[in-house]
Amino acid sequence: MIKSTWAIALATFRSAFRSKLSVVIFFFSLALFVAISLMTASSLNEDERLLKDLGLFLGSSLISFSMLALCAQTLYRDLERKSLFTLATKPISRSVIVWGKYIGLAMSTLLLTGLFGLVWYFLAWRLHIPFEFVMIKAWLLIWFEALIIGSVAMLFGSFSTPLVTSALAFGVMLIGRFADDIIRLQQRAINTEEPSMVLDLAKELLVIMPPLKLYNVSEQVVYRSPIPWAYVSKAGLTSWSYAAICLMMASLLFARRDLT
Amino acid sequence: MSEEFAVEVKNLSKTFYTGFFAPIPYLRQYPLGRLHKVVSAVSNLSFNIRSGEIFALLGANGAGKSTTMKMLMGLIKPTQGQAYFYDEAVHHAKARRNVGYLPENPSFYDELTPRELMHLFCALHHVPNREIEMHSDALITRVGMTHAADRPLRKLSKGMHQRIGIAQALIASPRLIVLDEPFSGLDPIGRREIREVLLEERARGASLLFSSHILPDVEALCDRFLILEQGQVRHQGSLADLSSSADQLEFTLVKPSEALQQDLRHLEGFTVLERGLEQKALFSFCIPESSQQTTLAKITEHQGHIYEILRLKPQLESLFVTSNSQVDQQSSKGEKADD
Repeated sequence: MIKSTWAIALATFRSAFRSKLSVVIFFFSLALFVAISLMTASSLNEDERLLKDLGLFLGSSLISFSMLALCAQTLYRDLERKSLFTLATKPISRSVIVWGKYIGLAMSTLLLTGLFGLVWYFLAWRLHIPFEFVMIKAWLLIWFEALIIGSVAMLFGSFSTPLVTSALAFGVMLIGRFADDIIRLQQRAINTEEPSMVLDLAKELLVIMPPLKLYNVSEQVVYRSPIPWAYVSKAGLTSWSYAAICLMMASLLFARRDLT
Repeated sequence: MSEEFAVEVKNLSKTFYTGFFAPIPYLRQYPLGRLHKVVSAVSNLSFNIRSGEIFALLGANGAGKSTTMKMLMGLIKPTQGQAYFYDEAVHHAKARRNVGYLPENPSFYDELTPRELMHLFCALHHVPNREIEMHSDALITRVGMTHAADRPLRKLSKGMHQRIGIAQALIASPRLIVLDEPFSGLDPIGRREIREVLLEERARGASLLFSSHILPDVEALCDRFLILEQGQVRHQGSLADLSSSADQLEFTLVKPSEALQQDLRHLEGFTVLERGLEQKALFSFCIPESSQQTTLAKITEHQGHIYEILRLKPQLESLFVTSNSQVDQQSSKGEKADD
């Protein structure tokens, strides 16, 4: 099973790496980073803060959206192009396909994250900003966040079209990112003793929503607060566990589906 | 000792439900859930393929051939019935260990090369790592794709895709090979080469199940065949039975009267031949040779004019056309009854 999963992951990685979409995403991102560098150059003594804050925000958004887009359409596109027929009729279970494809796309996104990191460090070097190890941790956390978003997209993509999948996964991403604000809002409602059905529902939903706030460390990076490895490990473990649960559900749903 | 079957199909049926609420079976009992279309693609299909046999699945477009193959390969879940590959239920992944499959108009990952693709499929067939390279190269050579082995698949023609599709279906020397339209997109030379490859596989001891519209290829390859029409078995038999069966006569009459036509329709084995005749004055039909005297008597009785009489040697094509004509007649009768 591991050999089959790895073979599909490798083929998916190669396909994603060579596809036009990856090239477009990379050059679009590069253009954005150039825009950031121009903005930082024109700012007054704020160049470091701007590069860190904006760089991480853009990096996080682009990597998450890339993973979301790739995962949302991977199964559907293969089914539409009929390339799934030869894969699904091999002596493997459908869960191998789901996991293999996800791992392949996660590898592509890791490569993209690494490239973004390098571009960011190049811009920092040009602005004479000293090397900080904490940035590597920040980029790693961005990749962990993309892993969660990708797994959610795989879950919805196992039974739905790319458009619906993207909309649903984007919704989960937004709720996940603003979970803390929702909790705060709920807390305030409890304090003022104003029971609300919407907030009750939100409370229930928050239990299953991914804790994406965990992966946003731009504040710590900008204010040079330390990010301990224990924190990164915990965030990584959370990401992998959440992704594993989503992929298990995706495998169950995909196994029941007629591939016509 | 009981006979070993490569494929055993028992009462296989597939009904598709389409519509917004159709995917939820629970809702089908409620009015909202009934807002869906029901399409019966395959109905109560049963057949066996003996070990080492070449079996052809025939039928017009939409007859249910591809749906049957997809059910056998686990792509589609049957609504009812069971199917087995060498006594193993087809929905288990391990039943496909000894099975190669070529889908209709195969498509692969465009960004990969044929060599990379073969490596992937070899790994999925659990070919040992040290043998993958050698095995892939051998198969690529066998289907005549060595010159394009390292070109991206998106740059290859439809015929080349078909060859790669056949190569991947032969990975790990399967005991059963299922091919959906294997000759589609191939030129005559390609067709002959692939036919030879399939015959080599049969000589090795493999069983073959394939569908095709190219009936001369079917006749050159298969031992037994099954004609599907509207998801149901219309005819099942062997080419040997076909050649030993009685000849058919094709009569063409000039402007036969309604009374004569009605009388002829009551003859045993009578089949109208829909030829899309440019002149509506001609009326063609087939009858078994045994009914020759009765037919001639009826024509004489009604003073009909014979245009020509042809003796038809039993061929798959005539059987295929006759089966389709019978179904057309039945459906038009059904439509008239509905009207």
